Amino acid sequence: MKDTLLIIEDNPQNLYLMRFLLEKSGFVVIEAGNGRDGIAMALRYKPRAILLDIQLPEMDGYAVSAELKKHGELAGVPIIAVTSYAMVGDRERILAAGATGYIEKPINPETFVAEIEKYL
Amino acid sequence: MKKRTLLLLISGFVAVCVLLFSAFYDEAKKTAVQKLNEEQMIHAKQAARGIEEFFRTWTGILTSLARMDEIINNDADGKRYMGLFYEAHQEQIRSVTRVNEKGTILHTIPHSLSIGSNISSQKHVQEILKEHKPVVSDVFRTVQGFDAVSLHVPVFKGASFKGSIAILIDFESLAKRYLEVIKIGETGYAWVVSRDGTQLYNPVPGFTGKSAFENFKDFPSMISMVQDMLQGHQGTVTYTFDKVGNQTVAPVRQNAVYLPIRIGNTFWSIAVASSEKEVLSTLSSFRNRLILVVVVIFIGGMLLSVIGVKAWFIVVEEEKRKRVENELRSSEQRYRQLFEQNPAPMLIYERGTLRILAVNGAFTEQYGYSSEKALSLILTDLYPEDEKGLIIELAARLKGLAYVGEWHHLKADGSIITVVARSHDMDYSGHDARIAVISDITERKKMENALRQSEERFFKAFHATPDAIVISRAADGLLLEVNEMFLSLSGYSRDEALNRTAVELKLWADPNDRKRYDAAVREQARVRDMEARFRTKSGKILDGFVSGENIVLNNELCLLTIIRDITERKKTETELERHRLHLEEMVRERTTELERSQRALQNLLDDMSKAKADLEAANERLKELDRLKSAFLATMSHELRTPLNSIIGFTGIMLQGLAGPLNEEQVKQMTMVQGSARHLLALINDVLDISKIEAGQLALSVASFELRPSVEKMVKLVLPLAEKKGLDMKLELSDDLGTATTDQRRLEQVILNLLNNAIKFTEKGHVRISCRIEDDHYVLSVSDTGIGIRLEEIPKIFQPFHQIDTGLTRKYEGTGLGLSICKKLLDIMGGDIHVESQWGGGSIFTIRFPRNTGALP
Repeated sequence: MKDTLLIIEDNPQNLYLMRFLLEKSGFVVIEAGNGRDGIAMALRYKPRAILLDIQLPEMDGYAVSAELKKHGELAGVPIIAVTSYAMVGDRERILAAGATGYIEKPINPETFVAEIEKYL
Repeated sequence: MKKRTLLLLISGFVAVCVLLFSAFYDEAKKTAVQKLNEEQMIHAKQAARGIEEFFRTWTGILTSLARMDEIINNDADGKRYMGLFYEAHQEQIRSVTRVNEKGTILHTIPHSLSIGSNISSQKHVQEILKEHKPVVSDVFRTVQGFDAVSLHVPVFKGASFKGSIAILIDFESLAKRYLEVIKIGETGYAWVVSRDGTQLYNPVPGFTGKSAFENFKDFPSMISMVQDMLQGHQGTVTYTFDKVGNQTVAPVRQNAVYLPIRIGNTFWSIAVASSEKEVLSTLSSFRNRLILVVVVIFIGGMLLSVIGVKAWFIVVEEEKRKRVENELRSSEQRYRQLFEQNPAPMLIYERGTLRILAVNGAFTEQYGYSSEKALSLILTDLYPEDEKGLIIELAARLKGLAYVGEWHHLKADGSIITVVARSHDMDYSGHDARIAVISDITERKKMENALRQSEERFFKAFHATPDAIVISRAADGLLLEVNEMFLSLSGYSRDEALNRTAVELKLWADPNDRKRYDAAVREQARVRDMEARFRTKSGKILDGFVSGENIVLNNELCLLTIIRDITERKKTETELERHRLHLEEMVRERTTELERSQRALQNLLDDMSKAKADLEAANERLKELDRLKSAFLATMSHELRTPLNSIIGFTGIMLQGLAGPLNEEQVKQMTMVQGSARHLLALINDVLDISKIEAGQLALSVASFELRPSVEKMVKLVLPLAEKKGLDMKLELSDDLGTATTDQRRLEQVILNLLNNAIKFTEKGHVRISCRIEDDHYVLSVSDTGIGIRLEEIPKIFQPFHQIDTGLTRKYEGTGLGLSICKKLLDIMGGDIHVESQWGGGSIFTIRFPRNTGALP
């Protein structure tokens, strides 16, 4: 069985896009529409990796990433930020907040899965 | 080894031959002795039978006589018969005698004188008188002087014993007849003993008639033989005979046989003996033949052995040679492997001709020659022109010496490398040769040079700096190094200063300064611009700022002390102070005057401060606006990207066929959606760039990098585009391009933009990119043979959203923002961009940017 991946993303189109691509490649995808649900699901299902949007309602991606990092049992779970923040310094800020990787939106559907697998 | 084996073999062989010989010879001798004894036995038996027959005959004759009445009665007729009998047999008998029962001779012929004499004292006479049976006497010497034996036969008248009738037999004639004829070869003879041991016959003079025990008393083996003979036995014996009488003679081994001769009442014993010489003489020819055979066998055996041993030695030698050959072969293989597999290039050349005889794999690989090519070279081909002479001269001198030296070598492609070559003599398949091992030290040399240069630079800086610098060892304070400035300030020569301490030189004018300095260095590891006073060699006191820092030099903790002479400044300061005091005096004089005008001024200032406050408030508002604009841009960018993500993503998925197959028209339309979405994304990115630049938010990330590879990388990126349109890409980069210190990503963005534009607007011909240094700037031009720009368009092309040939349909894709971004980026980098173009005659875009952006004000 392929690994389980958790996507935390509030935009339903984008969520569906990533889910579609990952499931096509055989991953099991679970999802959360906001940061708080995302953290709860991560702790409950211990996914193989977490794909994290940064622009989220209430609790943004930086806070989610920092919160996830506090839980020792998720120490080995890579957090991959998938975001349209493309300003200078965004990437550095996200990585500083605890993310393992950074994929810029818009994603390239032809290479997206390979990019995710790079972090597994 | 060889000799000893041979000797052993010979002696062994001799022993075998001797054994063989003696065995055969002994066997033959034994057989011969046996044969001899058999022969002797036959002789002895013949003699014994003869003698027995002789006596039996005579006993029979006498018994017939004894029965005659005339004889019994011993009358005249009887006496006559005795006379006739004697005459008839006188050749064999010497007398015939009639003895009466008392032992008195009644009648005897021919010696009538003894008639009437009594011979009953004689042993054999007593015996017949007692036994009344025929009796033979021992041999005795008669009064007539001859040896004789008498035979008595009893005479009876009826049953009454009437004496005997006897004959006297000449023993000599008897012996002649039966014993003397016994001749065995040269030395054989017979002898006879009577029952009491008297020798009846022995050809040895003087022995006959004597006791055999007396005659043979010196020869125990003969005594025992005689004893056996007297028992009436028959036998064979061997004894040694070394005396004749009292004379000692050469010992002679005798072989003898004996057997009894049975005669009437008694028996004699006859022995036949002969010397061993008899046997040996018969054996001698056999022995000679045997010796010959044995010698032949010996020589043959020896020859065979020698040949065998030789063959064996040859086999051993052959094996040894094979072993040595194998060892040689395996050592050759080892050598070959060592040579072939060696990671260092190796070559073998012939002395004299300098022909290269062999090279290893590392050589061909590193020098770029094929093996065939390498083997056609001579040594000097590997050397650059200016070293060829030297290597020829050196090669001539090197016989017998191991050599290590540094040279330059030419590779097949003509490049020169620096090498260390080690060589020594060797014999290579009979060639007088040398083998050389080569280490390429080009890289090391480069590094050494770089290191040396950096050291030189450091020392230049060290000595050229306007401050005095002292390096001292932390452990003992000895000065390890000082610079020129220190020497000129302190007045000491280098020799005076080095390896002394600052205390010894009394450098510190105030010891408290030194303590303060040492303590500060100890606690903080560094000191900056501490004020202190120093004493020069001449005793002059200098004011200075001292800075210090712990450094590690050659693994030792050292203290780097930098002293700045501020004596002059101090002096100036003092001077200034004086002027200040003077001025104050003057100022006070003027103060009163000033106070008046001050009030007027105060009013003015109040007005100004109010205006300033207004200005600050406006400034704050502006800043706030700026911040709002940035936030707006960031949000816009994000918000625009989010839907674009879906559009581009799903378009991609559909075009990939992941969501099911599309027909041709759908593919065409989806491709158009994708193109538009991508265009929109590029637009957003470009707008974002321009906004950031205009908001002054674009910070350059300045770093040093090599310009040439950076330009080449951009050309490589657009090469597929150019090839697709069949355009030539020409690259003309000046040789002296070095590092550029600017924002590499932004510079590359500009270059890429220009290249893309050139290719985009050119349908045939070429695109040329050139770059060179001009003063402190790089000048990079991209020229093309494309459509060019109308004169009136040229001033507008750097404005946003401007693209030439803006007709109803846009022939060329792009946002129309590229060149304006380029221009703005170059502005920030401190460079500029301009264009030369002719409508239909191509364009040349030239950018100019400082080699070091950071170095500009």
